[in-house]
Amino acid sequence: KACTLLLVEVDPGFYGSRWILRAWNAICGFRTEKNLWYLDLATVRPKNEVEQKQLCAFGEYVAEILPKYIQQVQVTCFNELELLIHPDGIIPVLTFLRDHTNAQFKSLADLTAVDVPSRQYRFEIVYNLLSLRFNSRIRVKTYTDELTPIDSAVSVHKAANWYEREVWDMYGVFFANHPDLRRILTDYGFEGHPFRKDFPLSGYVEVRYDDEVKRVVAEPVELSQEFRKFDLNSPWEAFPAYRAPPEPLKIEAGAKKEDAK
Amino acid sequence: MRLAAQSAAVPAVPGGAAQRGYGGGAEEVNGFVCFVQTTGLVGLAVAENPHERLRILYSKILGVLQNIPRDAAYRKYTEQIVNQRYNLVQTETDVQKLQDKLNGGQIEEVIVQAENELSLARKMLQWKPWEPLVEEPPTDQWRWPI
Repeated sequence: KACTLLLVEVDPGFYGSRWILRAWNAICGFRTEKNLWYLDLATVRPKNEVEQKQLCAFGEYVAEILPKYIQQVQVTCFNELELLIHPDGIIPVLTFLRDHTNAQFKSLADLTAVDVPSRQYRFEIVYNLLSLRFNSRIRVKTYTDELTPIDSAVSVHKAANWYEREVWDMYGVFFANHPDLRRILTDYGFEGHPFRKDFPLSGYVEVRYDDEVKRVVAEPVELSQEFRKFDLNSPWEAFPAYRAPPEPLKIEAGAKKEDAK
Repeated sequence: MRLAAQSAAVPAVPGGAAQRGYGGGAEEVNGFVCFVQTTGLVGLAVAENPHERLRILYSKILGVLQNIPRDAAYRKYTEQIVNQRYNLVQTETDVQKLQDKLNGGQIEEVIVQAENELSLARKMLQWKPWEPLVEEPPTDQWRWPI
């Protein structure tokens, strides 16, 4: 008697593969449900302790050599070294990182700014450097506000030229001793600095071609639908690790009692 | 020790430790092949007598460093690096072996790096970065998330 074998192909899919893993684990008994079964499926970057230690050591080295300008050094969890600097120290620190034998960060990869309006010095200027000799990166951060000029890095890295023009155009940060600081991305008569947080998404003006005057005119922007602001905050606490400590109750000195006669 | 740790951690740039290669043409003359010397890097000419040049540069750097206060970290570490390299330059006469021992790319690149270090040392004399911090940042300047 011939027995026919029926092969049914079932596509397990995501949950199916979980079922298969569970069945396999039940048979083999290697891992229990608790032991992070999803690590076989998900791509989780493994922690690189060696690189973390090297970056910490190098950060301490630089901080020891330049205590006049470096306010803080930090290494992120994904192994990125950051030096937080006083604005007076931009040129010394960048020159040191470029010329010193143990650093040799010859390449300026990026120069940007971050706008945090709630701070006293709202703009944070960020320099990303790359060392080709030692194959490593470093980030240098400074701060400034709308009116304080900052030293231009063009004398240290030529690549900073257009990046600083972009930061000027988009944020309004003035760079002293820059050879040619003018707008680079916005339109010729554009007013305002678009990347600031208080600049609206739609802008203030819109342009159209006017047939009467036979040229492009700029008019105040008119949206067909009024701006809708959604409150995207969840009702649950977002960052429990970063709670501000509760304000300690202060006992104020009350009005002194008059001496009883 | 720090220099060794830095350069041993990651392999050197592939083009850096290249042999002194031949240039465009290897000419065959009477059955022998002559090699034309070149660094392989654009704009960097082959240095004749690199030992002398490095000796001069390193002694100049050490001279500039004498004017920095003895307890400054920059002086300490730079003197360490420069003395280490100076000793290697004085003991090793073969250029190829010197390149390998210095582990800083081609000898011309080492010369350029020494020139950079010299200019940096001169600028450090003016900036004086070993002094204490210029100004503390405002309290929540570096706080993240806000």
